[in-house]
Amino acid sequence: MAHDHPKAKPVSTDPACVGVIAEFQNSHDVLHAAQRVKDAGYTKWDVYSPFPLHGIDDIMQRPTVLPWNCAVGACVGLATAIILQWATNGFDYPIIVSGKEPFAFPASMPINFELTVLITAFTCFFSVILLSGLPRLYNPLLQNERFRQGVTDDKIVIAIDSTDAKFSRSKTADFLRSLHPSSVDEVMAVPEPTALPSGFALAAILLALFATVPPILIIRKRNTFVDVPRIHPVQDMDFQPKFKPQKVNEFFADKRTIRNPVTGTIARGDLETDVHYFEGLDSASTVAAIKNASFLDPAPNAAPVAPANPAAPAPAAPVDNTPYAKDFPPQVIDKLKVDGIKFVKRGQERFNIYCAACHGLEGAGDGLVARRATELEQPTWVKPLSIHDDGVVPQPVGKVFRTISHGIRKMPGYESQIMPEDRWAIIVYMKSLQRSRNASASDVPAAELEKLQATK
Amino acid sequence: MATAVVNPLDVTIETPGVRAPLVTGGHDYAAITEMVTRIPLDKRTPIGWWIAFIPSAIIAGMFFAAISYMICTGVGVMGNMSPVFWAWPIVNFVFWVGIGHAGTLISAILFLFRQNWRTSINRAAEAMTIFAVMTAGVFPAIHVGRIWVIYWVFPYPNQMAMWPNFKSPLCWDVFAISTYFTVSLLFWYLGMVPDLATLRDRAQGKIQQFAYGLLSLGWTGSATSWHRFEKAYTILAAISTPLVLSVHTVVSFDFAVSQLPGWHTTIFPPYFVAGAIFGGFAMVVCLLVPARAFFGLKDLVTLRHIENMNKIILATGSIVGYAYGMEFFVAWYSGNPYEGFTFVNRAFGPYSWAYWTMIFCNVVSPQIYWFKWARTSPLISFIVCTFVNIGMWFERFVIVITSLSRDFLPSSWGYYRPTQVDVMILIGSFGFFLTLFLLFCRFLPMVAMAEVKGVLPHPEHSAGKSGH
Amino acid sequence: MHSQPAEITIDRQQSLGDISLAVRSLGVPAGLVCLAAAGGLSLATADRGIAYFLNAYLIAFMFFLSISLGCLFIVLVSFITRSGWNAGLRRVAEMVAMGLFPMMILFAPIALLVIMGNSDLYRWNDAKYMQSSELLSKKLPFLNAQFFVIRYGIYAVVLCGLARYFFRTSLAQDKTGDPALTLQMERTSTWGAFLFAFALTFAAVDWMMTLDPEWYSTIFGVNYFAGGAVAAHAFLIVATMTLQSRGLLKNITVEHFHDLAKLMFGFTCFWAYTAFSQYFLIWYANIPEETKFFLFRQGGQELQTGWPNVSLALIIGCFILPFVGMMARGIRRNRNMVFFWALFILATRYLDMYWIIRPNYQPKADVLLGPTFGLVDVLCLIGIGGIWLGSVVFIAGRHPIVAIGDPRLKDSLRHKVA
Repeated sequence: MAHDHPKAKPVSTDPACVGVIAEFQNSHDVLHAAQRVKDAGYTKWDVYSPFPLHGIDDIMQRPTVLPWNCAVGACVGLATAIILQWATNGFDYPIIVSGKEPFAFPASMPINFELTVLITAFTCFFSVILLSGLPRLYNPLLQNERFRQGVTDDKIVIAIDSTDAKFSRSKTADFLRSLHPSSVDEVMAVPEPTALPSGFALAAILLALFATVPPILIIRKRNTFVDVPRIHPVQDMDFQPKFKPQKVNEFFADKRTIRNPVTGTIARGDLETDVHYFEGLDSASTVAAIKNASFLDPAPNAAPVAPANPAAPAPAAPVDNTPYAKDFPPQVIDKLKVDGIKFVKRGQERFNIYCAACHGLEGAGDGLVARRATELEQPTWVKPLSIHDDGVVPQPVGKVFRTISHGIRKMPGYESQIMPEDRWAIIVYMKSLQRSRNASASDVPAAELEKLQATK
Repeated sequence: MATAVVNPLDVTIETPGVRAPLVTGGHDYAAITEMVTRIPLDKRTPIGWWIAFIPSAIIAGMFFAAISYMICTGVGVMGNMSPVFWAWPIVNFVFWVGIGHAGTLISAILFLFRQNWRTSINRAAEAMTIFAVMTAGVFPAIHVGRIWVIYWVFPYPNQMAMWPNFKSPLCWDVFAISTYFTVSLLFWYLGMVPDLATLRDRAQGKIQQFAYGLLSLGWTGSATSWHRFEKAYTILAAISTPLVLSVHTVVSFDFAVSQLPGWHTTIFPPYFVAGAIFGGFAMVVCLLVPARAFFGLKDLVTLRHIENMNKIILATGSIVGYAYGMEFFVAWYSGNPYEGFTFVNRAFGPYSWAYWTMIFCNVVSPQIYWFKWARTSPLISFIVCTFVNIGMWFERFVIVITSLSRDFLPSSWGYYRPTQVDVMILIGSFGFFLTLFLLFCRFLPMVAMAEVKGVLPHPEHSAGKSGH
Repeated sequence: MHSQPAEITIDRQQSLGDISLAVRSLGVPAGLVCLAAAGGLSLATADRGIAYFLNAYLIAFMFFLSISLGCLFIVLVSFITRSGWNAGLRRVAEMVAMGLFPMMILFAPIALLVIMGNSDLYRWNDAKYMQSSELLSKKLPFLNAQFFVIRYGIYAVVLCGLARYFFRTSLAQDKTGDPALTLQMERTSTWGAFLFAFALTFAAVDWMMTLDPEWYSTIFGVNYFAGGAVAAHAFLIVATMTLQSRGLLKNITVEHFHDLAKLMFGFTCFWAYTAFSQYFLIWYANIPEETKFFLFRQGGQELQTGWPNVSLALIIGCFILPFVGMMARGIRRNRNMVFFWALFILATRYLDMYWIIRPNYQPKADVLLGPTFGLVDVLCLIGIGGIWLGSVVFIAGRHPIVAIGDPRLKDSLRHKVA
């Protein structure tokens, strides 16, 4: 086969001698011979065997950097893992899950380990391939039938390359014969063909043409308008056979999909029986007065169109006989005892958020909204009262609470926005504001008074 | 072709101080090459191979059909329902990942322990590992429901500026399984390169020559290459060893980092690893017992190999039994009523049938391996190993299903029932796995020839001692 | 392969007897004196008393016990795997495993105190304490003095029985060289390994885990076993090299030390694996009765005791340093480096025992005690070590230090790491 290449191209057809090979039957003779080859001063030679020959490394002495590559790979893997986890979970978007800190080192261990192993394995694999000069598409030695059949089966071969400085076709062959091999061959092979295989260029051109298709499509799509919906291959549960709240539903007589709760239904946590705390009414009088019900505002929990609920009698009487609570409910008093000034501060904060826009930070009725509306002279505008107004100051706390909850005149009810406790906190703060307008020096603590006097 | 000589020497007899031959029949290197390369290079595919392959391929088709149906319709077609949301897909996943442990264990750990007998079986076992991990990987992917967004598990910058939660064991799983698959594949392929070169040099057909030539990367077996190869093989073995342990450790973390009774126990990592090796070796025996007979490899995969694997099955089975015992002891010792209830419920509750199946298959049936006649009988090995595979599947079933079906709140209790789709996917996974394995047997070298040759006794050593 | 080993000769008469006369005759008495001194010192210190002495005693005890158990494991595994490379070393392991006899005797005083109702060491021996919570009272069937002592007896019989069997049979083989004895020991080693595993696990649970009766961990036994295997390999290296410097065991070469170092390295990783598994699962699940073990050792805002530093030293000393230090093949083949790492690892094994046991010494209810170390600990270490080593040398006596009758010995002597 080495001497017979009918199909080879006219250029560089001449088989040249690429080296000499000597075949051996057993590993022991090879080790002996390899030592001799080395001693003879050859450098470009190698031993080919179907399995690793133990002992040959000591003779050939060709150390490898492979373990060091792997060590570097391991470090890179570990660093990648730690940085990846820290940067994503600990730095860029910290999430606390199951009470662990955003970047919890113990929890990063599994991935640290896996990535270290992964990168090391890749390094190791590619190192062994590349360091061995693989992948190798053309090897002239394989043109020798004896070599090709033997070295991956049961023969061991020493090959001396023709590029070796000491190589001489006849002398090297004679030298190898002196080592008692079972055979010696001069390997004749055509040099590695440099021309591309036929069809390769055509295939490359076709590939290049195909490669232009995606960019052309993208450019085209970006410059045209389409008014049909895009193709929706993955439904992702976008179209589900279900009724949405505002859609018509033929199943029910009223054709509404959204249903009213059963009359008298109270949501969990909405059962508010403590009228003092939740309604600002005096408990005892309420129980007594519950029957005439004339003072009641529209029931907060009743459904808007509830046929079962007869319309309450219209509040004809101009006299307000509502039994307002005169005092703060016990819950608020307890809270004040525990939190003290914190509770008042909370009221101040809520007041500034919800009330001050109209009533002003001091409650004088001069909030930004009020001032602007007055400037614009809106005919429908009703000016907010000052909380220091003579009609307001003596109001029982219950009345203030109900005003905040349900609104009055132009003022809307804040029941849905401010929790009951916060409404009470606002009233506590309001009371302190009112008091501050009528305070005397004796109301100021002695220490504070001294300070004030000192600053004068 | 090598003539299979009836070997008068029973390799399963141990004589201390004398190493039994690893390969019987007195074959030389050429005979081993012939025995192994004959199978992939044979132009006529044996009829027996078709008989095994066609049903496997049909069942594999059923596997993908059932999965497609499930994806098109939704996960509701499986039995995963409250409270058992982690049902058969996770059971199958853990089962197949476990099977995938034996291969790398044989090639890496036994390599480091210089167990030369591994050379006859490591190639097939590694192939089995890769196919088992591929099969396993299907399950977490499909049971997320919306498989087309599976890439969300990978850390990539997205428009929501969010990252995967790396503190989640499920995220570790992604890394562990993909790393394990990749490294096993590299290890398997690297070890196969010299054998692929042997096939390249002996192939007759053009396609064969081209394919094996491409795959063998131009390997010629030069001493320089072998030197790097051996270094790389050792390093890969050294990092694969903890990797094997880590994979099932991470899988066990899926369960053990929770607070669910029956899942949270500190022995889970080594217990899962031992169970995986146990099940994996059982699968190797199940595959190799028929394969060695059918492909005429009885001299390479000898009875001693079968016996050794059976011994490992007995040993790891005992470790699993130890872990069952420790779990029970500590469930009682901890004084935790929920733990205690879970274990009583396993043994005597509605799933007791599964529990006792598991105990019989995993703990009782391998006990027959205390007897040498059982260890060295291919038929009994095959039967026992089939039991072990069933038992290991039920072990995962017991862990996943019983713990989930009995939550802390009795109002959340339930009884899990699989659907037809579940059953089809489970059976189909075996078809998929076997299809891949049969393709491997037909087209790739089933035995690591180079490694077997490397550990054969060298004739010149026994004869001459003319040291250099 | 290319170099045939020359015909190997082995000194058939070599034994410990002559060269270790000092250890043999002084070990036990000196150990007893040290222990007496430690006890006296501890009792004399008003705020410590017997509890401190018992704690220090247990640390030293569990440390040396783990070496003997590890050596018994090495013997068992050698027979199970029919390993040849270490046949030349196995006798040393068999001898060290015989150290289980003195160790089991050394536990007798503790067992006696437990029977007498002392609860200074084992809190569960205090009936009032055990009735204080429902959780604890449930454990009474297991944690009571009678059953504890019965279990101690079982462990003693199983472990000493195994050690004695292998030592005796191996000695018998020295005279006859009968391969049948090897086969017999191989058979015994299989089921022996089961007995060993259960005895070791429950001994670790009984003697260390129950120090805190509320805490539990299923991997505890495996963790103690892994530490013992590390310690045993380290001790074998130290012992073999020491004996070599006295002219014994000349056939043990760098090849054997390379393998011993690899195994020491491997088991160090395995120990780290079990320790990490235990820590990680408990840390992650965060269940109070489990977490308390680590919460105290790891510390927190309100636990400024100094234990976190010990934990850090444990991680670095027991895993990170040996792992990095022994990774390179060159170091594992360097005699001095292997000797150094073996000594280092023995020291860190003691630290591990200290880290598990010492935090249970909490004499005051209101103040949490940080790490303490003093003369009592040193005296206990020397005392128990002296008795243990003295007894081993005494038992080993004039028996050959190499299993000269082992049919696999020639494998071992020609052993070469590929």
